[in-house]
Amino acid sequence: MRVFVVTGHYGSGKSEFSVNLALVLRSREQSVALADVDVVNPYFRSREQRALLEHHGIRVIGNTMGVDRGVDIPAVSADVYGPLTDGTTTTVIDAGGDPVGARLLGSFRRLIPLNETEVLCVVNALRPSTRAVDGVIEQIQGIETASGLRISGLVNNTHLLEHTEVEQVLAGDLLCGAVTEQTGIPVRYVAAVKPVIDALPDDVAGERITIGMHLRDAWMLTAKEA
Amino acid sequence: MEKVLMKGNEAIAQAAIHGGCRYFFGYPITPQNEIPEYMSREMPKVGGVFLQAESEVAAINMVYGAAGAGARVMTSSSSPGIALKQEGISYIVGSEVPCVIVNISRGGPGLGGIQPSQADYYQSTRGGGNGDYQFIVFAPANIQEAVDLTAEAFEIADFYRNPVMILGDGMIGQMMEPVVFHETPKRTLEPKTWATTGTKGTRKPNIINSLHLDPADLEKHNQHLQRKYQTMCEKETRVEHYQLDDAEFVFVAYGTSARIVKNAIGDLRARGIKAGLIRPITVWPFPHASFAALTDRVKAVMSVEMSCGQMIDDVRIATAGRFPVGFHGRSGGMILVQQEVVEACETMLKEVQ
Repeated sequence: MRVFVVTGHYGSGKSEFSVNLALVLRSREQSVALADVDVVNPYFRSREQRALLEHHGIRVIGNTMGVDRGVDIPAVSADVYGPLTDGTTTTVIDAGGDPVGARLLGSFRRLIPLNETEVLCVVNALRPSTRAVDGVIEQIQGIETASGLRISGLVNNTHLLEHTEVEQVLAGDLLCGAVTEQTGIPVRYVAAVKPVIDALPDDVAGERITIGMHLRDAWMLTAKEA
Repeated sequence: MEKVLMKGNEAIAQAAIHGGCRYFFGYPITPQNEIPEYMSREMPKVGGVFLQAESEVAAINMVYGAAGAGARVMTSSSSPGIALKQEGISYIVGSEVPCVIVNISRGGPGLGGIQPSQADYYQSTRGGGNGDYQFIVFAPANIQEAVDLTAEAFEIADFYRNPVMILGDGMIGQMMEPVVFHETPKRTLEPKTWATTGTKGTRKPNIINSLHLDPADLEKHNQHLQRKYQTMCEKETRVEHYQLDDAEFVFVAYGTSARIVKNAIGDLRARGIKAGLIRPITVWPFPHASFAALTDRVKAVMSVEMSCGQMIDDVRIATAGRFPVGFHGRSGGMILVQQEVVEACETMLKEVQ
């Protein structure tokens, strides 16, 4: 697969997953781009990690303003078309959350090479509206309707940030498995911070992606009062 | 209830519903938009009302009306939107009706920017509205605290018949953290016999009003309000002391800034500098007693804010000239840098020696 469209409920961890997926892909591929087409979130966007990504040789596409932080206008750069159509660049598209964020994908749906594209739906079983199968399927259907794309894979990204425990990821594995049963959509990835990934049993579905928490500053990780 | 991962804004909105809020009037502005969005979706499910007003001015006056009718009601906005609400807030205090106002503040002045800021300290604790008025201002430093304080704010507002403000910088609204919805501490509340709920022909109509044309009457009203504020100062002040017992250098910071300062204190202590923190959880009432209790062991006090220096005024008042008072801040939506806080402390300690 050359194109990875990352969708999901807002707060599911799409952007952090997108950044980490791009880094993993770059370790295998020569030409990798990350296109942040999230026009919903004002903070915590993947494009804010431009320095990190560019340091690793990943091209970053943001908005037309050339500003990565502090602009909340729905301006996605036409540069996103380039890597989609050049036939050689492995591209991660970080879509906005919820069907409303996925709607923008519809505007360049025709440029997405479907036969070499994975459309991922990121699932966090610890978000209030995606704790049960119905909620996840509602998300999937909403995103498919808004974007005009079919979800081809799930990402079990069940987490409570740095407080994530193995049992929680396993609960997410059960939830995603039940979604697979009903929809036929397989689990492509399971993502978690390193200590959790290292401790996962062998039978957990999905290729493992170790999450480096790049979107959160060090001071945010000390919320032990929470 | 089990832990879930929530974004600050949606957690605050859910906490309001949890605290009994059934009416929400607001107008969109970044970075608090998830609050009205959440309310628009969830309020109808609990039999409540969400209404997007035509402006912030309209929204605060709808709050005034609903509060006058005895409802548990909330509005939310961000800095310039809160500025527009100031007239209504003064009327609400003057009329003695309860409500909750959320300010997820952003960089200013003017339209400023959408990144997090704490430059609304004056606007929150001094008010932009007219008259001698005050209200409790909670400044949560994490999402769990924002949830707990928001839910409790409705009880406190009803208890005093006075607004309560939740003041979070944009980061508190936008960041995600695990939260649990606890049982809200309850207060003994009088029935709202003053509310405009309809007389049904059985009593004189209640009137919600802030107009007192007789100056003697208005002065008496003001004295009554002042007694309420005095009680709030005595009973409602909340503060966290962090590594304060042996501190020789005392930081003062609230909200997001306090978290960065705590990390900086870790660095400073590793270098042998005994630093501690006074974190006001209520920025009004300000925790004066925490400063009165500081001993001569303290060499200096420093206010650390994501503003150009506003809370420092209260720190100066509270320290009453007993200690040198310094300031470190970033503004415009720039977030404090831990290392810069460490350096600011070290520089000030050299200066005062």
